[in-house]
Amino acid sequence: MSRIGPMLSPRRISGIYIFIVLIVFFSLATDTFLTTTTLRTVATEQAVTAIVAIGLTVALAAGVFDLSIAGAMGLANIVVAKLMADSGLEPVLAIVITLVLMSIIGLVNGLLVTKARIDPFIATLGTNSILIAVIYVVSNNQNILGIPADFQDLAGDQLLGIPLPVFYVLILAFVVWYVLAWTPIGRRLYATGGGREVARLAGVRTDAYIICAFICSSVVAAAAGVLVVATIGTGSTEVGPSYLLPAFAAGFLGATQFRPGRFNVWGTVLAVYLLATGVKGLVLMGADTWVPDLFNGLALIIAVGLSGIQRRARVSKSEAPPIGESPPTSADRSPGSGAGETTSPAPQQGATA
Amino acid sequence: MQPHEQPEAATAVLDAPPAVRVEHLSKTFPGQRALDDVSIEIRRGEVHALVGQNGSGKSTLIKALSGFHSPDPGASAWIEGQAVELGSLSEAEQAKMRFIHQDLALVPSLTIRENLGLGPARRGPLMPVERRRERRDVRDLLGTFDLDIDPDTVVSKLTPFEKSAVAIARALDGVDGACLLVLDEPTASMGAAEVEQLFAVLRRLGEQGVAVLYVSHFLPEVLRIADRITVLRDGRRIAQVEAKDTTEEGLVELIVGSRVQHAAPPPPGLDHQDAFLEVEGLTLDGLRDASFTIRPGEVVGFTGLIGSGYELIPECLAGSRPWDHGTITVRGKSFTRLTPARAVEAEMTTMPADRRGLGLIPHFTLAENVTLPRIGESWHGGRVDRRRERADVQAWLDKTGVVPPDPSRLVQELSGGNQQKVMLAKALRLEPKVLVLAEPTQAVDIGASASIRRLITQLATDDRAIVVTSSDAEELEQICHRVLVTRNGRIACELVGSDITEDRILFESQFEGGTA
Repeated sequence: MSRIGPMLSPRRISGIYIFIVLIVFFSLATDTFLTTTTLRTVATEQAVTAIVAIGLTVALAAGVFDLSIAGAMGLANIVVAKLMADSGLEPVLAIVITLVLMSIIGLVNGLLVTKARIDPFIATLGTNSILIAVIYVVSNNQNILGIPADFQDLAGDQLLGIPLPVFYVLILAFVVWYVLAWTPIGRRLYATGGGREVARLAGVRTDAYIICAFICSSVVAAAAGVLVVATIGTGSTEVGPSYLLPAFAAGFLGATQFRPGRFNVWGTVLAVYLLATGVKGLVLMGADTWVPDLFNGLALIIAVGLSGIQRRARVSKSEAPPIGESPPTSADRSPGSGAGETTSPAPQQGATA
Repeated sequence: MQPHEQPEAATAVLDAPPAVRVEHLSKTFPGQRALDDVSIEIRRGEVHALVGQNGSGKSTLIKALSGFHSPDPGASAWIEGQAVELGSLSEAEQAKMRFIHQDLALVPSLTIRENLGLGPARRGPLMPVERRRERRDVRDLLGTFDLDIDPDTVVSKLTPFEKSAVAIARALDGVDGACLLVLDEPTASMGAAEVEQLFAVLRRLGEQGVAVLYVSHFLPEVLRIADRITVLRDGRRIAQVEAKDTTEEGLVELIVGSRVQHAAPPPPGLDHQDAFLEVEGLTLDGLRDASFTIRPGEVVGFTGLIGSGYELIPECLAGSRPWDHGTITVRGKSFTRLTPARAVEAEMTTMPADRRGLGLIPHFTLAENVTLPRIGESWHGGRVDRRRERADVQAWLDKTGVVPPDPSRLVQELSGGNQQKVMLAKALRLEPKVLVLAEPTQAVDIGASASIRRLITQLATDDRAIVVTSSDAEELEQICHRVLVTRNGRIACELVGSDITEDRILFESQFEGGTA
């Protein structure tokens, strides 16, 4: 099978090799690392991050930043808690209502970006700030107690000895992966992110795709918020912002894996767990509290930087004569896209919003 | 071609001492000898043209001169008689050569003055900019090129010639005794009048003793401006000829290595067929009251000076630019508004001129780009069948001559000419009834553009109407049954049959006597 070779190339799956190295290293360096407890904690703790990051991957694939996932997550967490604790709704109904409400956030973001032509970075920065205000108003800045126990089972139960949240991650990842990688919808979504005008000229309804991508990232972030309530048993006013940067880091780091240059689900999931494993190992080795942040930051910069260098090397190599003719010419210049359009945030092209 | 006068100084130029001389220059890339023992000598005051197909080594030669590539051992070079080592030129030696690339490297959103001020700050990076003095300096500098433009004009508002002139002014500003100016495809986006303006500037630089190395695909222009011409083919110097002793055909033969057959358009089979495309009174900013009808089997060309309106037609037909008045009727279906999706539904496909902005997604594979319109049809058995997709796309890549026809490569890894062919494959795969091609052979080498032109004439079947917009009059002469020329936002004339000649097209484009 000639395709196995390239698939195992470090260019595509360097993360897997680093993952293995980390596991071997920490297993040798500590007694407590290679245990089922550690495995289970990392898997469960990171499930929420992974879910948020998967939702964000959809938005990134469509070429838009969504900073409001933090607010969506926080508000969902308050709303679902209030619906159950104060209004006494059944958990299932509360969850459904919450997710539907939070989809409005995505719709608003999408309309701001496509119709009002506001840069996604700025639009979602604005909506996020508004959402944080709404969280305070709705919660009266009080944590919400009295969450039903059967709701908490959603996070606490296990299947085959594996905590349920791990299954949520896998199911969500599988569904999103299938849609992005194997359906015409996914192709059009990536095309929207890769070149909005190119996609539009090809008949793709890019505005609709961008709106749907925002809805997707909001709803998935809301689901993560719901899961947090189930995990900690209260509706907390502090949930949300702390997941924002890890989700973005995972998205960009993930785009260097499996399908370099493209935001992809398994890359994102791998990145979440890779970073978490590194952090966990360092903590078990007795690292100071600042070490995990340092590790996350360095990992992101180094990985994205290296893959950019790699890509440029590959492009300039193939620009040397045989395959092509001359380097790109004036026709390759694209005029500045219209106001409010974003450039593709493909990670190796320098992500600018 | 129109007869032209040699500059009077021509003979003096040919006796002038060399500004730059390079001998035995070779450059080997892994698996490819890009340059093979090339020698070139550019004299002071001379315009020396460098021609050759894409991939013939022109770019490599320029990059070796600029020090970007270090050549294989054995090369020697002299700048103004001083022996220098290519690939490790010192700053002083670098300063004697100035390079202007096709994209000009101007910042479009800044003014001329700001662009010219991007170099080293005169007074220190944190000192306030002396606007008044700068403005005066810039005006003086532009004046030396006979340009009367406000230095505070934003660069994006300039004409292509003005942009080039600004780039040249910047290149030569403040470097006393620069002896070689290298221009890469300087006329690519210019109309004929602007080309003349540029040539006037180049001739004046020649009088001042500056040597110009002029790289271009446009052979008629090369023959007009150059004193001598160096022809590269497959990395070798095939010939160095005096421009005045050469014809365009002779030059093409040297470049291609054999005679190129002109693809003559077959007579249109227009037996009482209904029009496939009817445009009535199309009016928008830059184009007024354009009406035309195109029947199946026809190849109809649109041309004119850049900005005269013809270049808006593909955008309207693609559905990417709304218009104010008028209707577009595609095979009986009328539109007063068109979206790209509706154009695709109406089986009208447009290949845009702006490859990167509108045509292709750089980090998509060829297959993904080509199948993007109607991607829904690639859905088989619950997924996009990538193997089937690749096979499908491969056939179209073969047809348009993409080399290598590998659907799994990323578009950004391809050269400009190959990307153009991928874009053509993408348009053809839709098997459109109305095919609109904007600048179909831009940035494509001579051999490939001949094959694309032949393909276009073959595509004009009973079941398809073709619109070609092009700034290349020769191209239109070769492939069109009719040519419509726009002037000042109106369709000014229609050329049919034997009236379609390059000279006539150029004349009609320029002609000022018509109603404005």
